[in-house]
Amino acid sequence: MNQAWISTLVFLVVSAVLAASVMIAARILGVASKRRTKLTLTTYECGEEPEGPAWLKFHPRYYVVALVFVLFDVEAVFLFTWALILPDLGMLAIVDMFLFIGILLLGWVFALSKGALRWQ
Amino acid sequence: MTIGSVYFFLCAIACIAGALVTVVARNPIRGALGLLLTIVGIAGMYLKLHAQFLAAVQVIVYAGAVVILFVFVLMLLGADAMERPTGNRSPVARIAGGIGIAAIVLFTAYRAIQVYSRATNGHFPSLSEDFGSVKSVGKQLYSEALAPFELSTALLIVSVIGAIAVARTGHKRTALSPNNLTSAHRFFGGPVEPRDAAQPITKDSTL
Repeated sequence: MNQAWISTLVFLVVSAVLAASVMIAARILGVASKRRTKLTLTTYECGEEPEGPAWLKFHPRYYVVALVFVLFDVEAVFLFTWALILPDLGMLAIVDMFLFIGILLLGWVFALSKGALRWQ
Repeated sequence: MTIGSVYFFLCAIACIAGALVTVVARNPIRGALGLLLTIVGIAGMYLKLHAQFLAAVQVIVYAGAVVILFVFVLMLLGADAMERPTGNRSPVARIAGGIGIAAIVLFTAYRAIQVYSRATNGHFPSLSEDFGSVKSVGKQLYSEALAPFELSTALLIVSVIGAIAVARTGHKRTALSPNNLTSAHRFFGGPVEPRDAAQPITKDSTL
């Protein structure tokens, strides 16, 4: 096993321990009521009485934002490979990527012109 | 047992446990999180197969974006759509499902025995040092696979246009339905006047 993977392993272990320690500390230090009443199980709303269901419907316009995010997420993935290969391929890679981004920009312009990214 | 096989078994357990949660969970959000566990397990297996780039993409695109989209859909549908369908499945469906799973398991086991039998053991060609690295994938992508790479933009464009067409944004706003009420409407039945902070709240002060 080489050095890079050991640091990856350390990273994973530290993040897991960090996440677990917060939950365990809350379990140890937190004050929990002994009896399980109906009040124990209600949602805590900063002292206000909870009103209405917690599971509200979200507006579909969030979904469009999420989909546009996926588009640019995939674009970012291709940019990682492009950045590494740029010194080897030179001009060809630059033309490739600008073609790629140019076509994707059309989608972005379409989304903008349809008002998909505008918060009505 | 080497560290490699321990790692493989951990990933395999994560995959199978996540897949089971995805199918069995009553709460769809838990199902989506089970899917996340499966995806991370598969990313771990990609690492074991020396496909580092694929593992990174698996985490960035699938765990980061696709699961988010699933959760978004669940949030759009709201609690009404999350009730578990009642009624038992028909015996025919149960038997067909069982036969299907048995067929998949048997076929996979058969192929695994075929591929990893002693006859073929050690006959796989050795891989180059940088196989699966981001750089080698990029080299392929921007030289030999240029046409598919540029064509993939068409796929992405279609998804964006489809999403915008489905969401029908840009249409004029309809009257307030339960879906697009502001929280003030939802809780107080109309717009709320800001309270004068200098005045203390008394029993007959309006909200």
